[in-house]
Amino acid sequence: MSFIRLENVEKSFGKTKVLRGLNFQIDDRELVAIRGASGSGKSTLLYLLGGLDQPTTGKVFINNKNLTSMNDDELANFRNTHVGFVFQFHFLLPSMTCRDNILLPARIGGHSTSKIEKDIEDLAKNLGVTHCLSKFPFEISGGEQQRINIIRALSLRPKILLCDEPTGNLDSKNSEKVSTLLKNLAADFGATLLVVTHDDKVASFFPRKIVIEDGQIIG
Amino acid sequence: MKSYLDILKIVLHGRSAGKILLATILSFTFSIAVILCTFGLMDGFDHLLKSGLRHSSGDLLITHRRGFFTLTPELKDQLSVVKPLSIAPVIQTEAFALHGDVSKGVLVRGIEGENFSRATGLNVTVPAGGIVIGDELAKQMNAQVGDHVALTFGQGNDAGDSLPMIQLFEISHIIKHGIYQKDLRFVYLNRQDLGELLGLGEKINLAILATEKPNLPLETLDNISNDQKTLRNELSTDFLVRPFWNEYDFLIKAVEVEKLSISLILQLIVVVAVFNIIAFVIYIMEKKAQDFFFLRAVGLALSKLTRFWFISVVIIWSVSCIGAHLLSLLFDWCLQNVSFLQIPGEIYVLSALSIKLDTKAYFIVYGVSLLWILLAAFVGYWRLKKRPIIQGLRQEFSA
Repeated sequence: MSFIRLENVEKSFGKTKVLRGLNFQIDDRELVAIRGASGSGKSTLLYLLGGLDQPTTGKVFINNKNLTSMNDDELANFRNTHVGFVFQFHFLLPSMTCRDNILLPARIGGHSTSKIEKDIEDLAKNLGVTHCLSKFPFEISGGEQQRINIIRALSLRPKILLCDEPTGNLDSKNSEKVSTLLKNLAADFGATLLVVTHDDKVASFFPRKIVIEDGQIIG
Repeated sequence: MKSYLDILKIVLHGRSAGKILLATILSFTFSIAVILCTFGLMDGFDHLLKSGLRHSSGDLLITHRRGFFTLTPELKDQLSVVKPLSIAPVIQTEAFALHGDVSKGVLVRGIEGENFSRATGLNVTVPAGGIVIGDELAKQMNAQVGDHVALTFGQGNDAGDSLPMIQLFEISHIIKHGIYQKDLRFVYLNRQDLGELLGLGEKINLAILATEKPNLPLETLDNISNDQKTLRNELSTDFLVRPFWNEYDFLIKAVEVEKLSISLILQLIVVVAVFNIIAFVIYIMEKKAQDFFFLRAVGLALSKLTRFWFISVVIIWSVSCIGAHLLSLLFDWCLQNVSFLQIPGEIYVLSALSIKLDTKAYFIVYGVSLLWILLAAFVGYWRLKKRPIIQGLRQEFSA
């Protein structure tokens, strides 16, 4: 049984059709790159999978739960407990230390922060950013910010890790590092990984590639 | 979010957010305070005028067309139809008061201290041979308790008897009615002393009736108006029955009209306050939209965000209301204690103004301000709600 299933998903913004009748399935713990040119609809697809938006028509199933039938509260809870987002612009809140930023999803969801503190310490050690935890985002480098962003996305051990152009601001060497890191972490955490990218080289790091063009899957 | 404070911390991050919030609260506080104080001044004026007048006139004043009359048991019986709480017989005559180099035309009232106090609520005790004077008169004559004041009474126009009668009295008390002219002109003597002095015996020329409890504020003047009508029907046409507000009726009506017109003008202040709140809402929406959309992306439900938003607005309103109340108390204190804020009594009738705010005034001012602020908050909430998360994230992140 597939973990993620899309049935005839279409998405329009006004008169503009961004996604056109998408049908595909992704297995649990699969590592997938969604590749496409700018404006092809790949980010929109990612947001639909993350419960950030609803399709105009069609259905999105995650772990057999139909996201299209959920209300706002249920979707918020789904995003909080099942999905980890890694954005291109990592957006760490400057008023909080990196540790507090990482704990933000836990606090929003009302989870016990003490339980995940150890995971955070381990991840931070693993990614070499232990020294950043008590600092504010503006006190650390861009690369460190991205790693803090990844720790935040994994802090609640999500079932799905969705990454929107996570290497968009990085050179090819660092892109490879981050891609490998995401793959390894997803495997360690038992998460299904979907990485949106316009870069063929980044896509090549992942075992499965979904190529999207003009809102349709072409490969 | 575990606690409201966590979201608040995010919203208030940044140098300008806290300052703008503070400015919004202050501006809203001042706006509410201005409205409260204006209403309070109007109501205070109305209240002080009425209570000041009642302190000198009771509720109803009975006079006779021919001047003097006697408070006979028959007359008392007739007056009892309105079930008066007290009846105070008074002799009232004009005189000159002399103290040092100062002379003043005064209205001398011969009263029975206890009766008069019961009828008017003004505590006046006049010992034999002593007088009680108003505090403005005392100030202008530079007189103090224990000083002697000469009162000069007229004795009619017959040649031999027309010389004025002069008598010295010791000031035993100085009192305050709250009405400038009464504090400047009224001198109280023992009725029996004044009656003997003027050769009037038991005759009086004024009876003061209390039909409502003198020291309780009047909710309405209707009861006294009804009692006035009843007495007019009961008493012979030689008697004149006037309510206590008769001589300042125009002022009481003017205050009513002013309250209406000023409350319309005050809408401008409300509008200014509302603009400030809208400015704050727009600021938060523009500056913090990224934060809000990101929080929503990682699992903050719109319902929680809505709750936070409206709780914040109600807190801003509550703090502003408390601040406005404190400011109105401060203004009231200043009105009574800061010399340049004290009003000229000869122009404003009252010796001093104070703010009086009843539950109704608070309810109206606070209620209307809450409606306005909720309306402004709803506009902000609507702007946030109508943008889907994905659209908000894209717009905010690409900015």
